[in-house]
Amino acid sequence: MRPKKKDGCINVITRILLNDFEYFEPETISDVITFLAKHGKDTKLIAGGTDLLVDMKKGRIKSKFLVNLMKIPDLSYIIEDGGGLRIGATTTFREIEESQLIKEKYPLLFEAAQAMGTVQIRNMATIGGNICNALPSADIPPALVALDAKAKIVGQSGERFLPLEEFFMGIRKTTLESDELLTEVHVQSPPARSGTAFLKISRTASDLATLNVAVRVTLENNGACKEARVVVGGGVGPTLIRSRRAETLLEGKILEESLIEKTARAASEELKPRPTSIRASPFYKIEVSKVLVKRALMKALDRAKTQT
Amino acid sequence: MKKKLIEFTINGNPRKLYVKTNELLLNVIREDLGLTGTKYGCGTGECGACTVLIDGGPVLSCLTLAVTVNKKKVTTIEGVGTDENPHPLQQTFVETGAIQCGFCTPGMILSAKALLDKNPNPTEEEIKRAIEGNLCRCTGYVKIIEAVKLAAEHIGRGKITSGKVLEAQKEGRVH
Repeated sequence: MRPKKKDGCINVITRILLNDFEYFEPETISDVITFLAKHGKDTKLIAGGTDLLVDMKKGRIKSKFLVNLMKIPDLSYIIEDGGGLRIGATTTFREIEESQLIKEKYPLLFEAAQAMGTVQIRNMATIGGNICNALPSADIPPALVALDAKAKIVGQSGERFLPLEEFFMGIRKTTLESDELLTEVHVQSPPARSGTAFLKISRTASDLATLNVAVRVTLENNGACKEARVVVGGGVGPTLIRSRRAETLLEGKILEESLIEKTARAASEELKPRPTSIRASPFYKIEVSKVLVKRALMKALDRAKTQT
Repeated sequence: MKKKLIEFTINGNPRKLYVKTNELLLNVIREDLGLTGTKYGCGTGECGACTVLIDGGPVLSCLTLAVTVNKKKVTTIEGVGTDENPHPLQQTFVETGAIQCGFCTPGMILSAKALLDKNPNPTEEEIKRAIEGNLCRCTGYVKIIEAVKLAAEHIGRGKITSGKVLEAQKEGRVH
């Protein structure tokens, strides 16, 4: 079935941008905040532009002002800091994927970053953009939530930190106020004896996720599960879904295949995919989630066991 | 309509140009600079036909605002090799039959070039990853991957002469 026209998927000119706007290139974060305080409601922030410009071409988004964040040197970095990791909002997926530090110590972020888009898209798209766009199919947010990431949000009234899980309010909706800017993502380094895994299923290797799963398993010295995170994304609800029911089933137990299977079923029962979803039917998504969550947990468990 | 002055390097030549703030890099390259090697395919970041290199990395010119390339280095297919002295990739693409209709070729070559510039000895998997963002509806990709492999070999030897493909076929390194 062809997508409905109102979605803007067909009969749309994608050769030019019809929307005209005033363009700004601030060089500091405080310049952005000052601008947003004045014009926040009429402003769109652009980083990689791989989502925003498509939306503008399709007429889904119109904006009077466009503020480019990519010329702010203080917004792009990957820093190890006090037992954790700080990633600047305009750090590209390519930079994350190619960071030796992330590959070695935060393989979950590496796997999620690598799964996103194509080389060209990863060269352009940023971690902040992927988060702030708040598409339920985004790849990096489930991985970040599985690592208990926090968002650093700066506004006129100062800065605040928010667990990333609470950042998402719905499809394309976040808790960001019109005068606020996401500047950084903070990830704690996973505790000892932790294993993680990110799995994604999509129509083609570079497509948005039909379903994605990020999990973390942390083991006690006796091998029982101390802490677990089970996060499912890819359009299984208005936002990603962290299955606390699944996590509770795992915590305190010795993880065996039968328990993991039961957990995956529990996680699948918490999903609420839309019947109008373009990429797959709700039935398909729920069936696939059982398999993907199970595989991800098995993989994470194996990895946790090899950690000392 | 607001215009802004940008200074950038296109294929090694510095240029100053007034562009509209909502103008896409692809259109500036094709219409203002007359470099039509870069193609408009889908316009939404799916196909990679509009791929150019900015500071050496492949990006999509149909999703890049022209104003944002201020002070950057842009390379299009016109900046890769010459008629007399083609880039090894261009030669191996021709010789292996990695070109059919040719529409994806400029983007494909630029993606492959970005790979080889960084990693002169890529595995087949790395080649596939490097060109994942470039759709080709003719070749089925097999010949393109062969062409990139061969170009890497030639670059490694520091020289390329035509007929190398036949030689490689005889030795059973490509089919």
